[in-house]
Amino acid sequence: MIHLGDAIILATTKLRTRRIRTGITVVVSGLLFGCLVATLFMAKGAFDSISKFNAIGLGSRYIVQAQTVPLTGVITQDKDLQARAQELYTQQVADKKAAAKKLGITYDATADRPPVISPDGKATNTFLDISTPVALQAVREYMQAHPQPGMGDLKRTAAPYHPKNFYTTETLSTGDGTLVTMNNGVENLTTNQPDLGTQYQQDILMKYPLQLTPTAISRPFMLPATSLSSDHPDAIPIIVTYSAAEKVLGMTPLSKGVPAAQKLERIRTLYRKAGSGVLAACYRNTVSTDQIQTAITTAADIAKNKDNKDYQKPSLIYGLPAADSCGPATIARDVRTTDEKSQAAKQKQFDAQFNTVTEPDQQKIEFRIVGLMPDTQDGAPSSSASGILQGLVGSSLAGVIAVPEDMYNALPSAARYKAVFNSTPTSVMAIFSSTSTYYAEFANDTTARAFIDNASCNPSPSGCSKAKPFMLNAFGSNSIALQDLQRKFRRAALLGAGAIVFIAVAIMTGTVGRMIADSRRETAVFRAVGAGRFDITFVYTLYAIMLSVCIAVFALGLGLLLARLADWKFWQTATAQAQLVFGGSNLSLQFRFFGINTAVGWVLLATLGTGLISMILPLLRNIRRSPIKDMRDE
Amino acid sequence: MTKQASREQVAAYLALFDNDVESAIAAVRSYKPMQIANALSVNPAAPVINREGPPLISVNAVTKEYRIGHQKVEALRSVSLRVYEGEIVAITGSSGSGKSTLLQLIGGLDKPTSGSVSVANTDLSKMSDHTLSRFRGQTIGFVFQSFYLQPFLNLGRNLEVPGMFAGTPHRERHQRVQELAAAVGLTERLQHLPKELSGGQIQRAAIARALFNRPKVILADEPTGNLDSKNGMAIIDLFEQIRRNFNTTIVIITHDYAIAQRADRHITLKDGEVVL
Repeated sequence: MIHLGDAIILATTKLRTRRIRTGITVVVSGLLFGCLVATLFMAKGAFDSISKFNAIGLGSRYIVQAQTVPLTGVITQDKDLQARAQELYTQQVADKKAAAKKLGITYDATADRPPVISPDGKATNTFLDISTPVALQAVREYMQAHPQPGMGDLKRTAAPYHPKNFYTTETLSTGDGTLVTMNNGVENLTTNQPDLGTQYQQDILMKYPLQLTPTAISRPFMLPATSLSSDHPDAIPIIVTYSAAEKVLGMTPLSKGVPAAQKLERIRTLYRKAGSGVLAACYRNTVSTDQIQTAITTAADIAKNKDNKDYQKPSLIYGLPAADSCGPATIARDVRTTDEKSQAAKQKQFDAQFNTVTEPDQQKIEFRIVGLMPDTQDGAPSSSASGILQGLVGSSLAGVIAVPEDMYNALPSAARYKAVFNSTPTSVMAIFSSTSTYYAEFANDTTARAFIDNASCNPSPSGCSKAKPFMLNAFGSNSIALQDLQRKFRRAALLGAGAIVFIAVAIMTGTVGRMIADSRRETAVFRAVGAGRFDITFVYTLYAIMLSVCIAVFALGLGLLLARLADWKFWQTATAQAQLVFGGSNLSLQFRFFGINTAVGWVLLATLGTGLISMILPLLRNIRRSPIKDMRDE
Repeated sequence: MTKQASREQVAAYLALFDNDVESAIAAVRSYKPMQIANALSVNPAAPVINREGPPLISVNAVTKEYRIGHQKVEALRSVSLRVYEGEIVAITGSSGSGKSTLLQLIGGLDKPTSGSVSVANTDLSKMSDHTLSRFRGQTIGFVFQSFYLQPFLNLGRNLEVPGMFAGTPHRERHQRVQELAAAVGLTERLQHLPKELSGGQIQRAAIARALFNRPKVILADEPTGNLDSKNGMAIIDLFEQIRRNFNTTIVIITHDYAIAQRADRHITLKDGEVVL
């Protein structure tokens, strides 16, 4: 039997024949496997980097958010509810008429809109007009009779999945009152005010709800205690997004195209300065807001008519408070008659009787930044790479301003704030959906994923079932989706590898097959000089292995080169982006696109296997042929 | 079975027996293929061969059929032949006469459809492929018209190839290569690639390769077919020298009557049968 060294000598001669074809095979197959190797190196680097960054925020935790489903659509068409609202409306109009008569004031019943409307005038097609107070009252009664699912329901449904912990967050609602940022410490008390939509976009307190958040959830986003200012001990602690912090600190947002280094520097600056960021806001209830608006418009009217001799000033004129005080409107002029004052007092009494707020309430509230979190996409689709990355791997608190619960409760003026934030919800959505949101934390992505997949409500027109009372979503980060993505990537890589192996087998079979076929006479000569079939198989197997090794070496080199190049080209941008997306509390972390992936070993083995597979058929054909036939072909 | 010899064959006999008309006529009169193969075609100038003992090569009533598509082709028809140790036998015949098939059957590269082939008292048709390969490597050396040297191995390595398959130790192979190169006059060319050698040198190298395992038999298929007459004769000289030195039996297929004349015996095949 031929020795290994001799077989290698003979196999090497095969590699040296048909060099162009062999070269093309090595390059093409090497390119295919090289791309796969590069992808694996890069994916390993990227996933390792994501894992490192995940540890910053909530990325390494598997928290599921449970939300109740607003039943607006169902409720507005509920005939019983409509009947109850109509009943309440009839009763209220009757009561108001009686009360007005008793107080001796005029009551216009048409000012109170009926709670049931029919867009096309048909009695069968009616809706509850939930913008009317009576309809809201009916809804409130309905919700009391049909309580929203609570923590007990979550614990029950989550129990089979063995959750680690449960949490609750509470939305700090100001009810009908408004909380408006005092830019540069002053209120905008002019007529030049942006429209409501613009205000919602520009004012972070209007854009994001305040949410009382358990420490277990808010802690990962907290700034180091040493960087927090103690100048405003009474300010409400808040955790805000980078962009919100920029506004609070008066920084101009960076344009989208700035270099990665500049973005990183901005994050560093934010983390350095955010602890001293203080946001002043003015809370006003509806009466206070109305009086201020009246004062503004009246002042404008007077100014406008200062040369109009026919213009008669109102008998009661409200004055504006100091812009930095968030104070109540003053009485600038009150020349009402005794009768007018009496009528106003009676009207106030009438309003109070029917649960309408009558006294102004306002107060200046300060917020101080105690934590930072990455911006989220607010659910809006994003086609940019950073947007996709943010959506995919970002760790944040889902579009809220988080108020750490323990710090809030420890505030000296907590009781005062509770008076502001304990208002009965009056907005439609606030009534329909609970101000509480519930969370369950799991030990791993598998149980969290199973809980979401199996226990999430798939809302029907009648809402959710008792067995699945919540809409369940991954919360805080997409760590669950990320694990899923990694699994899918592995599957995709496996499929890709399969496809590549298939193509490579085809290419290599062409080369190896041609080579072996071309060597038929040579095989016959070998047989003639004493080679057995095993010897021939041994030599060609070594040839296939050597060819595969050439391809594997080429692929490994190419893969390393491509992955290193990608890493060199993108790591700084990716690091900046990752700091933006994951949170930059650890600025020393780098996002790299290169990592040693043991799966590359499998790719190299697959290359070897590909060579051996490609050899089988031609070799079988060759060694089964009669050497004579091949000689006779001459 | 006897056959009448043709006019052309008579001319050939005359040439073979160096215009010894008496011998030629005797041969024609007693025309029997076996006898001709074993006795009448003997070159009087050949050294004395012991034909009384057992033959080294014994081909007994061998028939070989091939199928080409649906057509059956009889390459050999009941051919019998004996070749003795130390003999040089030439086989001639036109293309398709079955001479290469006969050579390959003797070399164990193919198996007869019927009949048997024995070499060195071993019936080749009863051997497994593995055993036959070993036997072939040790007992038979092949020389081909197209030489078939490995183009990317130097001459030394090429000469070693049979030793590689025989598992001969490296040192022994090296020594053997030196001996063979000296025997065929290629000592200075051992580091050269085949493309750097002339046709005659390549064929001498191919013969040296065939001798590597000290075979008892050399089967040469048109060894001079790609060479000019001078180099062709040199190759025959080399065969005779090998026979003298190693008592090797040599079977040569050739179209060249001048070459055939140099053999101890000359056998002609026509349509798969021995005709002379």
